[in-house]
Amino acid sequence: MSYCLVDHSVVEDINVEGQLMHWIRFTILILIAAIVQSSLVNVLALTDAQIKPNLLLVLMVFFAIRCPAQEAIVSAFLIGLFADLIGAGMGPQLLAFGIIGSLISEVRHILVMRHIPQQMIAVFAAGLLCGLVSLILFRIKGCPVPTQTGHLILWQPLYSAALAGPLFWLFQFVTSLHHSKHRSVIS
Amino acid sequence: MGSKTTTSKRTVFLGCFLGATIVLLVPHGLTSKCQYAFRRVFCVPLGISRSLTLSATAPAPPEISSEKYHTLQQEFQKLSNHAANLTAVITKQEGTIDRLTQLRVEPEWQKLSFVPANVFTAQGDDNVVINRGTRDLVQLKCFILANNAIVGKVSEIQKHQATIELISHQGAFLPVYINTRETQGVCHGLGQGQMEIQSVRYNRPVAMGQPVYTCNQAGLLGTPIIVGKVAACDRNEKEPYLWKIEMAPAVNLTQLDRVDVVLPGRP
Repeated sequence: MSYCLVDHSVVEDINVEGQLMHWIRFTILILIAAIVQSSLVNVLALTDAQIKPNLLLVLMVFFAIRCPAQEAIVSAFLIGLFADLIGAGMGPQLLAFGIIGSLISEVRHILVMRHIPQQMIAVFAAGLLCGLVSLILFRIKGCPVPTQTGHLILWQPLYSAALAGPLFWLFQFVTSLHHSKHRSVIS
Repeated sequence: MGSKTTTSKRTVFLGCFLGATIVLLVPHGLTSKCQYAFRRVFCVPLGISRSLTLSATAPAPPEISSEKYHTLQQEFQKLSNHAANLTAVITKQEGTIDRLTQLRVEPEWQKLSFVPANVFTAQGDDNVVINRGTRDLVQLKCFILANNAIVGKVSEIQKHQATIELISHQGAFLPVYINTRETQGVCHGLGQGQMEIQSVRYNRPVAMGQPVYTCNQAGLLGTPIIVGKVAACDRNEKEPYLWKIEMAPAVNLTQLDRVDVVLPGRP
């Protein structure tokens, strides 16, 4: 076996750079999801009430289940921020997504969320809670409350949960691409 | 030895929660600027995805047979052309109304009535034919205006058309005065667009560029109307006590398009 001396400061720099790149890519992914959510998702709208899935909600649950706790919390708040940027007002969804995302990352050790049906239920529950919390916060802040709150609270989470399976697969695919690339760079 | 600093998840959550609470408490008017800024920064991808959405959600055109499509296309073309023709007619009529309105703004001219006419034939010998006749109450010797200037008189008349003898027509004459009413003379047509003013006494001041107006014409023109301007003036060699004056018309007589027939009295 041969050993080589490793400069730890260099390794730390590489780690910091890797982390930064990781977060930049993550932010770009959320940004794309936000842009798609604000426009392209309208194609999937059902009925005259325009019930459409919430990509950001699914993304939030995906990261809350799969990432380490700290990253899950930050990503949940960040996704909430983007949800607010394309929404009716700043703050309500940021807080709602942050709290619910943190909660999911906390309970994932207690509740098993390994299989797709369980994850779909998690998406539905998270959507329900996020809808309720953000609605209350919308009222507190005095922002224009989104019309058809019933759809926001019930039908949208249901639709999002129904699409969670393929969306999780898609997100898994995108993140695995990133990880494989990252690994190849490191190796 | 490098030391890695880690932040507990509680600290991370509290930090994020505080930040979110601050954002929530910031007035809506202020935070909405962030939303506008976001939309402005990402206007291009947002616009593209919106266009894609609109094109995807646009209702598909109903399927029709090629024959029916061809028929409908022809019908559409026909209607489009008809609409274009109507638009042209409206524009023309609006122009006529404007022209008549301008004419009647002159108080003296309010006593007169005008019949707008189109010149559809220009004859070589300083005559033109208009598309108005006795049917339109046009009478012989009625004066013709073009761009608010006298250009001729009706010399022949039929039911639907009339011949206009332009002021440049050989033998045409018109009592006029130059600049002031004291400098009176007679405008004579010499043919081929040429005119001269005769019988102007040499002791009257005449200069190039001075305007030439019609004298009052009993029953027809109660007010002076411009005819042209002095193009050249010199002492008449044959009759030294008179001027020899060439006149240029106020309107280009070779490019007459629309004219107005002046009728005595309003209908």
